[in-house]
Amino acid sequence: MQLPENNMDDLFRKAAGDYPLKTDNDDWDAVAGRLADETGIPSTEKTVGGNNYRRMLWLLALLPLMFICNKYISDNSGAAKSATQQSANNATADIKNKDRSTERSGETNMAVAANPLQQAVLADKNAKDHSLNNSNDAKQENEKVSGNENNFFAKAPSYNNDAKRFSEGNGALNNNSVDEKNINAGNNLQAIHNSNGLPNKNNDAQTKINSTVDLQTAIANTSDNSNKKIAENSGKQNIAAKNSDSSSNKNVKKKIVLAAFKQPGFYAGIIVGPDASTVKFQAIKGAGYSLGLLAGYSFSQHWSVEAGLLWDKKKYYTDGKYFNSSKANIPPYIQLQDMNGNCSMYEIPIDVKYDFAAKRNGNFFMTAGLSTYLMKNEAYDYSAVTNTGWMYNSSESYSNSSRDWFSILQLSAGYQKQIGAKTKIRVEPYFKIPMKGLGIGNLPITSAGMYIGITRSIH
Amino acid sequence: MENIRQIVSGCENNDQNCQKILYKKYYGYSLKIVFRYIYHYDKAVDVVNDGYVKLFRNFSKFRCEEPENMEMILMGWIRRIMINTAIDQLRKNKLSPEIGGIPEYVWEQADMSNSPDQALLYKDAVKAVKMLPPVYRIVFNMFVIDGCSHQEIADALGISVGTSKSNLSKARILLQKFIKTQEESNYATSRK
Repeated sequence: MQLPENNMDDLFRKAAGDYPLKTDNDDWDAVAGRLADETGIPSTEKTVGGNNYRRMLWLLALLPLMFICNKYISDNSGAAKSATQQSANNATADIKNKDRSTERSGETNMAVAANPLQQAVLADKNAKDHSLNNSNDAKQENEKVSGNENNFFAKAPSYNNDAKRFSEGNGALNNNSVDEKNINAGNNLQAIHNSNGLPNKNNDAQTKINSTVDLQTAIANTSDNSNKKIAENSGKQNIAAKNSDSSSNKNVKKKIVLAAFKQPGFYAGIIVGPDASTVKFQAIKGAGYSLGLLAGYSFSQHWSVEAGLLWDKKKYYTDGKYFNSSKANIPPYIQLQDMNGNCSMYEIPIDVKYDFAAKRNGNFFMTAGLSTYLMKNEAYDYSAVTNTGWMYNSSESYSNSSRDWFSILQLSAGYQKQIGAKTKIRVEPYFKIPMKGLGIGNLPITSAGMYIGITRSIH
Repeated sequence: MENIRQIVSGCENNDQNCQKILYKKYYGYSLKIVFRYIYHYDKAVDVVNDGYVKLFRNFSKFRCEEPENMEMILMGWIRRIMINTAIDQLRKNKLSPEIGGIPEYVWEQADMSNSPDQALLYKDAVKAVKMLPPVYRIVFNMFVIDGCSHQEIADALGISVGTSKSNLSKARILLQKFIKTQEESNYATSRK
């Protein structure tokens, strides 16, 4: 016997409502727990999205501040550097002057000790000339000394001449008070000349006698000391030379590194990083990633152009109202509710990069440019409602759905550090703003993330 | 708090007490819907809970233009969400048929004491639907029991309207055959 269709349907309808299934095993705690754990409540998600939006705006607003800080630091470091340089110069000058006065006396002694008789005769002979030309010589000498103050070591080879000149003063060797007074005052060498020359202007004869006697006595008394001083001075000179060599080596190394850092030319590298995407700052559903190659050319110390080829994976959520279903093979009578998108694409960014001043082998930088998205695959899980009110879930995927040329504005700022002669590592937070709808559904997908990369100069 | 409007209002405001009341109130109703699709008791319980999580997350989307029929409309909405969730679960398992029968522990003993014949009849009817291939069963459940149109079924399952109608027809034929076989078996048993 065959049941009429309507009777059969009625039977099953009644059975479906009243069949004796055990229903006392509800588990509200599990549901409540999951609701508490869920972070995907739409209203909350929008707030989170809003917070992210605000954070990103803050980051962007901080970019100029970073520039200002960097400039300020550079200026200050320049000022500090010049101040340090100045004090260093002064200190060096003091040391040099001290050494110089000591050396000069040593040199003088050395010169005298080398040819005592000749020097005595020379001193005696020149005393007259010197006394006549005293004032002019003193002035010229002072000018020379003060003019060549910083180039004292450069003048070292002409020490013998200096020694001769100083020996012309005759009284220099015995004039301990003058030496003592001037030992720490290189700039007051004039005093030596004045004391050697001018006071004796009217006492030539006495000066001649005194100078001869004094010189002989001085030769006897100071020959031993002068030898010691010569040794000490030569030691000092060696140490100074060594110190200057090591410091100059360091400076050279620094200069080489900085030169390499700022050298114009091509460079290439790889970058990788996480990506968070959102449509109109709605909820962020999971993290994607970017991975790819980067190439650039530095025009100058500060400006570069970069291009890349990246493989991107982006995940995002959107309310169905933002999805344009006209190209998506979704019937028009279906109203999309929620969509979770997952897309893979090639990205071609072209950016202009500005490098701030390098400090300690690293520098901050900013980039701005445009990116192209070549969509390879877009997959959507969505819930929808038909025009009859039926709600259901489904999924669709699209291959090679769109090519959005130069449709994304990319802004980033980061820090890069030199880790070798030609190699740099960089950390680069970025923000990508769509200038039009992207993909099959024309969704404005905004992305943020952080590239971590390594680049190498190609010179 | 038993007032359905208060419960709905509370759920709209994510009031956990109202959510709990609604869940407890319609859990049995929901489980009976889901079980007809899943036919695996433990899985059905999980699917119901999944459905309620989805329901509470999207409660702001609940619309009731006839407040006097709010409970009916709410039950219809719950039914749709449970069916969708069950279909999603079946899709995950690629609509593979269940292995084995329905264990006895899933049946409520108390109800059977009230009208045992009717309870047995209904139980057999539900068991009969389980005999259908999953796609036929879903179409039969959706069209005959849950009142969906062929268009809605086609949208939900990603099939054409014609396929939906064909599946329904085949499901009916199979069920009639099954019922006939059962009747003949019962008749033979009673003759002995």
